[in-house]
Amino acid sequence: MNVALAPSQIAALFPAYLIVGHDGRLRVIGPAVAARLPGLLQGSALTEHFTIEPVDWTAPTSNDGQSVRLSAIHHNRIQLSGSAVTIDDGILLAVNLMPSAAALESGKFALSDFSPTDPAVPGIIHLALQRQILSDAHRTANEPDQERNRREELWQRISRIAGHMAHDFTNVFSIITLNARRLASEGRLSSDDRRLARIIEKTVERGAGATHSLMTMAQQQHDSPAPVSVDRIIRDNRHFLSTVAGPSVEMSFDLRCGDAACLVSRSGVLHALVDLIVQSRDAMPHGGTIAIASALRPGDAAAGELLEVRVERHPAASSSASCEVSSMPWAAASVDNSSKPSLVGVDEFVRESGGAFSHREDAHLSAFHLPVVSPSAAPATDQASSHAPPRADIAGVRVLVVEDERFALEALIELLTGDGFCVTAASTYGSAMAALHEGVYDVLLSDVVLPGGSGVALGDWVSRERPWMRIVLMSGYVPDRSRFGSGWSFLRKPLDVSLLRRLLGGV
Amino acid sequence: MYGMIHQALREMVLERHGATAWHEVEQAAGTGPAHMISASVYPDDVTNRLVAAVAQRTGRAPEVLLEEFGRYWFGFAERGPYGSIMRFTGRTLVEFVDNLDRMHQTIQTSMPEARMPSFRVAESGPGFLVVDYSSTRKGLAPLVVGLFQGLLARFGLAGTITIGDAPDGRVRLHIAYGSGDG
Repeated sequence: MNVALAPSQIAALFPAYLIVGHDGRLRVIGPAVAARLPGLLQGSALTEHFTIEPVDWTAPTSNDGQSVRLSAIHHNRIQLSGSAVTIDDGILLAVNLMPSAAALESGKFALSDFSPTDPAVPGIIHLALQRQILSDAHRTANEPDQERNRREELWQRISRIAGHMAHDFTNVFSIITLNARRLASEGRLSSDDRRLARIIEKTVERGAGATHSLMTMAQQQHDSPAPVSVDRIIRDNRHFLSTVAGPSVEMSFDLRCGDAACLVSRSGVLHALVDLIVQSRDAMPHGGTIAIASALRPGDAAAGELLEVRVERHPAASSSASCEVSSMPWAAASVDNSSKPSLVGVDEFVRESGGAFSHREDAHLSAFHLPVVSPSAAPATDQASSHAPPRADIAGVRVLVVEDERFALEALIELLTGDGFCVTAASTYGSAMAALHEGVYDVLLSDVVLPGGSGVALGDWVSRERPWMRIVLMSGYVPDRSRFGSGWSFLRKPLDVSLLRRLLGGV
Repeated sequence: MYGMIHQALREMVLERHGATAWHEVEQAAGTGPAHMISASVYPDDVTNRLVAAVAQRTGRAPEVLLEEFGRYWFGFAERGPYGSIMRFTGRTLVEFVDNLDRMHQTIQTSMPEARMPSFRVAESGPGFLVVDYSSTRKGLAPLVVGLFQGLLARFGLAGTITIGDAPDGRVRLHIAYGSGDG
């Protein structure tokens, strides 16, 4: 049966069709080809514009036609593929566009250029769908990263605020401590008043401990792993940890590792302890005791000696119902349970530090083990990093005190003058430099953060120009020790007055 | 509906009202990232909850929100990997609408559960286009009006869209348009 089709009907079926006369010249050009190849003219030879496979395409072997493939000579992105069918006045090339991926990307092709039955169309659309799915997968994979970045950014902002607040608090604590000490040394005070002054000092000491811990945690981004004594970290932060536990929980410490050091970050240890304490505290709504204990344990041959930290909770006696409730947070907690990030965080920290973490709900016990590093790797102590024996006779030791907090400076002057030191005061970097040029000193006692400069810069200058002078820096911030010169000492604010005296007396 | 609709709604809320607003929408609708996979098909109830929550959060009537969302849709689709499908569907307004059913049918071979609307060009001429629309879903006429406004804008055009009835029970859209320059 023969069916006669009008050119528009052929175009609807094969938008890229061509009709070639028996002389090999183009007679009709389908709209999709005409739009793509405007230089294609009726009457021109097909072979001027296309290379054709097979070469004997002009002799179709059956009524179904012969497969042909045309490649545009002057537009290498365009190829046509389909069948050559003999018709009355020539050959119908019932072909479809086969655009390259690049040509498709150019956006110059549209659905209308393709036959309704062209298998390329689903391919093109499905490719776009696949890209969308990949894009979704990529976005989904990135979402945790973005969330982590947002949290990190938020943490850094909180850290900065916490750091500034902690610094201000330590300055205030320093002023209170120094002036309480001045008060206590007043000869005319009664013993009761002196006892009150001592209470003020002790209270400030506790507040300062918590503030220092806050600052250490706030500055965790600068806290890289280093050999540190875990016992010392716990001891230095025991007030802070007790504050975290809250008033209904009693904390006990049994630390037996001495100076044994582990290669960890200070804030990492603190975070782990805080997380474990918070979990324990939340599991004991009626209060109780949290016992923190450390001990050295023999590890296997590869691991060497291990430092074990145990956090054990002992709930206060309560009804069975409340016991059940109190155990729920722990029952839900698992190192593998992402809904309990605290324990997961502890586990990650410990594993990253080369150790192992375990949690036994039935025993109300969490423990982590960290490899002990050799003692030679342990750093200098946190406070007063260089020690010298105190000298009995301190009269006449010339101290340049640089402190921008007026009341702290005033208290320091009075305290040190009373001890017999010969004190010169400065409150800015500039005035300190002027004093250094004008006078001769044995000791520089300077705050790290100063108007117009820094105590570190002062120390550098003194090290270079006045090498005989001893340098003691003090700060409420956790300092970057890498900026300190060798032999410098550091005192954390609020100042421990007896330590200060010992340091200055050792000149 | 398929997840790309949800993605677009999320992007619109994020762009115009911020992350907190979207968080509140998700809370109210009871949805999460699992409802945002573009090639997945979700029950209409999920989409309806999201639309209702966005309308509530943004203080808009649902039909106003749907029209606004329709206008937003094409810009959103153009920016992502679906942009190539948009460009492939048509180079002119009429060609685009004429090819919509074919494009939807092809997509449906990948997402057999998806229920796609149908758009047929009933008539076209200089500055006007008559489209017959049908869908198994009811109440989405404001969305379709917004979609055509967005489509006109995509081709640099502007115009008015009025809704009537087509003889075969479809919804007939009369679109009169001109250059979007002014």
